[in-house]
Amino acid sequence: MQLTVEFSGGAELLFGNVKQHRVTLPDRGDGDSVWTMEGLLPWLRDNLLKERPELFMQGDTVRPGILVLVNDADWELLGQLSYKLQPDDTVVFISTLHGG
Amino acid sequence: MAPKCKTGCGKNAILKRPKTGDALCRECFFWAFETEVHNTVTAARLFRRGQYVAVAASGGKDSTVLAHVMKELNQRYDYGLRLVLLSIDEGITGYRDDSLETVKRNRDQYGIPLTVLSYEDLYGWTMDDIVKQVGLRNNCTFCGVFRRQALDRGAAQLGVDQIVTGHNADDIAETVVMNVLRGDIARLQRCTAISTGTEGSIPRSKPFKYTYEKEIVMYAYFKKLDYFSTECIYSPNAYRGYARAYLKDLEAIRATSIIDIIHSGESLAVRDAARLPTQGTCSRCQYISSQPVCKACVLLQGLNQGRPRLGIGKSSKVQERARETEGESGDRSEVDSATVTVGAG
Amino acid sequence: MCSIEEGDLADLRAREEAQHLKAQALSDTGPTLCQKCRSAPAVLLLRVNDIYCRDCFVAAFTHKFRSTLGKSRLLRPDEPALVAFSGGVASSVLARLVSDGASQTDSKRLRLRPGLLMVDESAVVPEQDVKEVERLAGTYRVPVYRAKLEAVMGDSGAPVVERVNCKLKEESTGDDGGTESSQAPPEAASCDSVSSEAAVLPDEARLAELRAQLQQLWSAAGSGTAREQLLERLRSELLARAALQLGIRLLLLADTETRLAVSLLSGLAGGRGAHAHQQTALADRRHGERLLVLRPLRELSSKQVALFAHHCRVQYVPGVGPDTMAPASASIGRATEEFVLGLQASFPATVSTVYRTGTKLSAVGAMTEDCALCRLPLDTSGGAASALQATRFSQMVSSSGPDRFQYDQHSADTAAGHSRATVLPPAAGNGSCGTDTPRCVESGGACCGGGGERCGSAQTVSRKPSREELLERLCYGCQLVVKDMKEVDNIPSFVTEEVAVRTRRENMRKEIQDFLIEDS
Repeated sequence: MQLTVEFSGGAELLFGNVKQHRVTLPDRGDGDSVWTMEGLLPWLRDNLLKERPELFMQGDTVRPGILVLVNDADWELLGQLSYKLQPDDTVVFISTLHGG
Repeated sequence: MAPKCKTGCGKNAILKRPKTGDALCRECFFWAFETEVHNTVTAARLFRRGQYVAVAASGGKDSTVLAHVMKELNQRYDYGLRLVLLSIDEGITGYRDDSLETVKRNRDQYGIPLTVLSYEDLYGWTMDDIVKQVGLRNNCTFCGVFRRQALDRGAAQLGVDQIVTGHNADDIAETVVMNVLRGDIARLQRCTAISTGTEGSIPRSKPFKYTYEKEIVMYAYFKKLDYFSTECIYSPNAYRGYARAYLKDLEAIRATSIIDIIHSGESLAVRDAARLPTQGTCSRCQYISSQPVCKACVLLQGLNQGRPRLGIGKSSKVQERARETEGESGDRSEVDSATVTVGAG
Repeated sequence: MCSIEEGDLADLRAREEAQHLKAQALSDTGPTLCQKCRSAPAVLLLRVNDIYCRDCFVAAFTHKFRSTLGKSRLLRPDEPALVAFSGGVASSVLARLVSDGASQTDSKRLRLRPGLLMVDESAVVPEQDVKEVERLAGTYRVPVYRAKLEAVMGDSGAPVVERVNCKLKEESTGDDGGTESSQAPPEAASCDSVSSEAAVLPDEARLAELRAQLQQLWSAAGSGTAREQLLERLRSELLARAALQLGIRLLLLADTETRLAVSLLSGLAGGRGAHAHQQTALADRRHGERLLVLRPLRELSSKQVALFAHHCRVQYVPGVGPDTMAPASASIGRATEEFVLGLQASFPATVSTVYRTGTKLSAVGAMTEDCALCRLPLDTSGGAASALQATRFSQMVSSSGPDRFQYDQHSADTAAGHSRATVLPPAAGNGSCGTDTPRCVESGGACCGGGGERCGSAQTVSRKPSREELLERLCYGCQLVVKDMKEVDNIPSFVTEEVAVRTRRENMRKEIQDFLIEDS
């Protein structure tokens, strides 16, 4: 499944200072191709993140102060971690942290 | 090789004071610790000669050290105080019964008489019973409200002029932060006062207001004082835990943070002081209260009517509910569900 | 003793209730429709249950900004206003709101003549992309001014600000008469030429000197917390001075509710309880009648600001500063930000509650003197029983020990509140050159004997205050900053001038003391 992932507000600093990424998520081994945000976050951390994972994730979710939008909608409207990603979704991470 | 004591006494230092960073030997630390508490007592004019003073004793480190130091200073500087230990037995098996044993040992060691008052005697309920009724979620509300009154009632029974509590600098800084987080302006203004005594209630004071928790532990450790150090088995401690962790982080960044926060609390001013609640007395028990019916009476009414959430939530709504349901029997479940859904604002 | 209070548990219930409301709001309308217009798809959730579509959000956001500004009732029609512009998300959003509002043609036009004032902090924040900030500033089609942070180190009378000429690369034309904030941003601008209409700035050599002095001050700061606060102080001093020099009375800061909540709490942690009110106030009046500093974003959260920037395509550079990517242990400000945002994630009312607590506080009265560094009231008179007195007493006790300490004598002193002299003895200057002896203020630390050209005149020669003299003129919070500093040789002139003036006045007063008739 292909997605567009964007980082801004300083979150891009953790991802090689690249704001927009086109990513292809692999099919999961068990034939289940459903990806949720819960699965996407660690995947981004392990495959796209360049440094300081603790500044991106805390526990199983994003670090407080990082906003998440899916197709411009606040992920809190979409069930956050349980949201099932659709092909060509655009997921945006915006840091609102002063100290980046 | 250990550094020499900062005071120049010639001995080797054994500790670094958390408050000032100074390296001191054991004797100079004891002396500095006690002299500072004495300074707090005199600067704030906490006592008058001949007063009868109750030391609120829980068996924990703060109150154990407080009892020890009060006895010491009373003799050394001839305060002329009569001291008594006052303990509250909340009725928590496996916690309070053990800590009360510690208080009894303190009584014998320091030669200070002890009075124990129980929730069961005062309210007809032990905390163990209350937890069975209300569960673990709200029990601390009951315990906190009941304890405050219990201490006052015990003090009134004994006829003391004043109560001293073991609240230390860390506790007060934590309370300042908590009150900001809760937006509780009235408490924010009150919580840094070293002595609280509104008209009609017995004054309470905090001789350890400027004493760091770490120094209290050091003092108890080097003096080999006997105290009880188990957390309450019912305490969820959730929200306060965040504030406590924050203070620890601040202290690691700047060692004086605790006292800096107390300074902040002492120097902030509240706008429109007229809006702060005025104190009156409870129409049921005559205990001091900012509401027509005091919190303890509302909570007790809830317990006795089998609707423990009656007294929980916004005070205005609580008062309303308490008035509406006064005198009703406890088993009208339809009223229960209608009044109980409203939580805190 | 157990320190849980009755209020503690209410917090947990508030949290559960918030989650309940949120779940209810989501299931009622479904995740798709805006609660306001009930027609467009919802894109965001604010507070507990406000679900908005993009247009309703942008309208509500703009309205909040306008009503906050209007609430001040302090604006004069069509007067010039400066937006403090860092290029970060909040100041870019503020610049957009102000410039769009002012260029509207209908009755809703914001009656201000905006300009942007940017601070070049590259002397201490090398990561700052000054060119990019200037380029962004140029896209708003309003006058742009620039001040270099090092200029604040010079005499308080010296000019600090210059105008920057920004040309849009391609003047966009047509329909975007600034109606609302929704259109695409103007094309990139270039800001290479500097006009000469503003006052003449100090020459390059002098600026380089000041820059070096600032960098020395910075490296002496000793802690992340001291740096953080020093930067904040110097920046706001510079902004104020620049506005005054431009003759502009209004200065707009882009502090959000979130930012103010964090700074209120870190202020408390840094001993600034007396100033908690000014830290969150809509109008900051510490500079008197000539300069009004307003915070028109103070009722908007950083989440709202970031979402506005996202939905309205406001360009910005991610904020860089000394604390960027720094761990929470780097400074009190960082630790507090982590704490507040962490709590906010679980207790959604945290930020607004803390912010509102600040607004319920008031200025501490009856203080006659202001801090020489932050210009807010001094809070160091203490009193016999105060944290300040207790700290001084601890230092005294720890260094004297039981044998050399006489309680009665000292207790009398401390109880009367006269202990400052005991703890911080003022160092008397002896007028000779050497380390820790009088220095020429103007030459930025060069010794008087070194022949700095400004050192000759009696007007400008004043010796550098010692650390103790300095501390006496500072509020508690600023004292903590200075205590963290390794040396105080490079304290900016505006502070040392103030200390000198106060000291002179106090000495004058002492001389005539016997002839003064005291009011009772």
